[in-house]
Amino acid sequence: MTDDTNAGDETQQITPVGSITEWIRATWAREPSTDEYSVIDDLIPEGGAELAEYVVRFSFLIVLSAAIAGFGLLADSAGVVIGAMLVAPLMTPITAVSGAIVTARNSRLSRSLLVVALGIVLAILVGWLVSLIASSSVTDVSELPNEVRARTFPGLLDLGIAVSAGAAAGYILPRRSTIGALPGVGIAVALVPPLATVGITFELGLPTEAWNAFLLFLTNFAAIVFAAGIALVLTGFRPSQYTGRRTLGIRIAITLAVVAIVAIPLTLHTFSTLDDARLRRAVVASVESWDDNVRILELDADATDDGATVELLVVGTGNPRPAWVLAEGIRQRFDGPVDLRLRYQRDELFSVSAR
Amino acid sequence: MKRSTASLIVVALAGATLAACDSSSPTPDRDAIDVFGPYRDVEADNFAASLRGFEQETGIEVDYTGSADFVSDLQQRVESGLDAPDIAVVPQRGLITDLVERGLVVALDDSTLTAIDENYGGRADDLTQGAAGYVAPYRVAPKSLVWYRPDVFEQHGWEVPATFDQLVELVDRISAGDASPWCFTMAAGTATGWAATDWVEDVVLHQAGLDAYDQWTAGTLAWDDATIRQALTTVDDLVVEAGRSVGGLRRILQGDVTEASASMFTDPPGCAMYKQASFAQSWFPGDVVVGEDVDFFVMPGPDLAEPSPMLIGADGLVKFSDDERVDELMAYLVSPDGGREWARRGGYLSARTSVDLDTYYTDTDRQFAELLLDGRELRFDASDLMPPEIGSGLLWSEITAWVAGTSSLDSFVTTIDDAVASSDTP
Repeated sequence: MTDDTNAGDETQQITPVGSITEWIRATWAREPSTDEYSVIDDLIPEGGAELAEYVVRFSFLIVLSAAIAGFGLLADSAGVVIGAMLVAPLMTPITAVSGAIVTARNSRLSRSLLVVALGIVLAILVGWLVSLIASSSVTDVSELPNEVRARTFPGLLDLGIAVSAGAAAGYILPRRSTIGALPGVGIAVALVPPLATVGITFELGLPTEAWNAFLLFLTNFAAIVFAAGIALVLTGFRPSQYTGRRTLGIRIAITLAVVAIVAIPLTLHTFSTLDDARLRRAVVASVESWDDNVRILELDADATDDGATVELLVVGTGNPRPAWVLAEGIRQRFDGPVDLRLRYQRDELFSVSAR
Repeated sequence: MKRSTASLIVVALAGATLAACDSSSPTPDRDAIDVFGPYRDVEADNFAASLRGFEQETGIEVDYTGSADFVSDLQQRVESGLDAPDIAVVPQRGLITDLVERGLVVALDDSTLTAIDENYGGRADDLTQGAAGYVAPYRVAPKSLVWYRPDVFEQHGWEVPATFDQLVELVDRISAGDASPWCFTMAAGTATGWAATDWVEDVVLHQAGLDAYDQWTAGTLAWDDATIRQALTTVDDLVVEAGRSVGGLRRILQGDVTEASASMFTDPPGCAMYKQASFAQSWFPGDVVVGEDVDFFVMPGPDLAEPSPMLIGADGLVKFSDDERVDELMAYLVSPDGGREWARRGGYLSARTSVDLDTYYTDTDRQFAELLLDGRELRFDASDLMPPEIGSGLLWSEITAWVAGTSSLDSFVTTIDDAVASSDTP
C-alpha cells in the first residue's frame, strides 16, 4: 500500500462538515505570498514623485471618466456610461482602503482615503460643469433622463450589488492571474456615474436627488471596503504587527457599522419602492374592473406613510365612468387613503376614403 | 396595513364629461358608513381626522370620498337609487332643497335635531333655512374677505377702505402704479366660474345692499334688472378690465383658483389685494403667516353706519340612509367633536355657539369665527341657493364665457333669467 493510498483512506474518514472546517482552517491560516502582499501595498505609491505622478494620472482619468459619464447620463446613453465606468480609476484607491484596513497600515489608509476624497470632489465638480455646459432646463425629477433618474433612488439591490462586487474585488486584487476581471467589478458597482449624477442634479437645483445619488456612491464605497476587506481576511491577509492583529476585529466592525448606517435609508427606499409597486398593481387592477374598455397611457403612483397619490392618464372609446368609483376601487385594493388625479382622453377613430 | 382611521379618497377628473352612471364598483365595504363630499387633499385629510374620534368611540368605520365633480357625482349616485352614500356634505343649499323636494333625503332623527338646537342655538334657523329638519350645519366660511399685505399698504400709503365707494377709489389709485389691484384666477376644472360668481354676489351685497341682495336671491329681482346689471358692470370695471388683475384676462381664465394669491407674496408684489373666503389661507404659500405677512378686511358695504354684511358659504350634512349608526355619526358631526380636530389644525369654522372660541379655534380662525357670531347680517352665497343645474352648472359656464368676452352682458343675463324661469315652471 502506497502513501497515496493511505492519504486517500484518511480523507474518506473525514465527515463533510469536518472537511469544510479543515478547508476554512487551511485558508484562514494560509499566509499570502509576498507577491500578493506587494500587489495590495503597491495600489497607491508610498510618496514622493511616484505618488505625485499617480495623483496626476488619477485626477486626469477621474476628470475624463466623469465627463464621459456626465455627457452619457444627460444623453441617456447606457453604453457611454459603461464606457465611463471602464475609464474610472476609483476602484484602486477604494480597494487600497480595504487593504490598508486589513493590514493595519494607517498611513496607507489615510493616503487612500485622501485620494478617494479627491476623486469624489473632482467627479462631482465635473458633473456640475457638464450640466452647466449642456444647459439642461430640467426642473423636475420626472424630466430627468432615465440614466440620471436611475441613480437618484438607491435601494437594497444596490447594496447587494456593491457587497458582491466588493467581495469580488477583494478576491481578484491580490491575484495577478485574475486581474482581468476587475473592470467587470467596476462596471457592476459604478462609482463615477453616481458622483457625476450628484453634480448634475445639484446644478439643476434638485438637492434631494443629489443627496440620493451621493448615497448610492456611499453605499458602493462602504460596501466595497467592507466586502473586499472580508475577502482579504478570508484569503489570509492579516496585519503584520501584534497590535494591528488585535484591532482587526474593530476595524472590520467599523466598516460594517458604516455599511449598516447607509443600509437604513436604502431599506426605507426599498420599502417605498415595494409600496409603489403594490399601489401600481392596485391601480391597474382597479382600472380594469372600473372600465375594461380603457387603456392606461401614463401612470404615476407614489405611496407614502400618509397615503397614495395617483396621477393617471387613460384613453377610452366612450364616456368615462365616475372617477370616484375608480378611486374607491384603488382605496379598497391598496387599503389606504388615495388622492387620484384622473385624466381621460376620448379615443375616436375617423375612417375616411377620398377618391 | 389595516386602516385604523377614517379612510379617504379624493378624486379629480379632468377631460371629458361624465357619462350617465352605471357604476361597476368593486365590492364595497358594507360595514363602513359611506360619506361623500367635496373635500379633497388636505381638506379631506382634515375631515377624515375629525371622523377618527367617532371611529375610536364607536368602533364603526367611516369611509370618506371627496370629488371635484361632487355635484354631478352626488346627483348621479342619488338618482340611480343604487349608489347613494349614507351621508353627504353639501355646500350647495340649492342642491339640498332640490333633493329634499324630490323626497330623496331622509329626515333627521330626534338625536340630531336636539344636537343642532344645543350647539347652534339661535343661529340654527339661519343655517338650516330652506331645508329645516333635513340638513345639519357643519362648516361655514365667511366669504366677503379682502386679503392684503399690511407692509405693502403702509409702504404705498394705501388705507383699508371703509365703504364700497372708497374701495373703488383705492382700486383706481393702485391701478395708476406698478402693481395690479387684484389677484384673481378662476380655473377650477368643471367648477370653473364659481370664483367669478362670488365676486358678483359680493358686489351686489356690498354695492346695492341687503334688500337688493335678498330680492335677487328670492327671484324677485331678475339678472336683467338694472341693479344686477350695474353690479356686473362694476365687476367688469373693477376686476376684469385690463390692468385690474395681475396677468390680465389670460391669467384670470387659465390660472388655477387655488393659486391666485401667489403673486401677492412676490417681491415686488404683483397685486395689492385678493378677494377670497377664509379658506383661502390654506392656499397661501407655505411660509406665509396670517396676521403677520397678510391681513384681511371685510368687503365694505354702502353704508358706514351699519356693520358690513357677510356672504357665507355653508356646508350642510344630509343623510340618505335610515340607520341608527348613521344617526349616531350625524349627531357626532353636529357636536363640537365633529369639527374639533379640523378646527385644531386650522381652516375649519362653524357657527356653533356651544364652543369656547378661545380653545376651539386657532388664533387665526378665531377672528373669522367672531365675524360669524358678532351679530352682523349673514347671507348665503346666491349661486349656492339656486337650483344646482343653474347655480352649480349653467351660471358657472355662462359667467366664464362673459368674463372671457365670448358672451355679451345681454346674452349672459337673459340666459340665466330664462333658465331660472324654466326651473320655476312645474
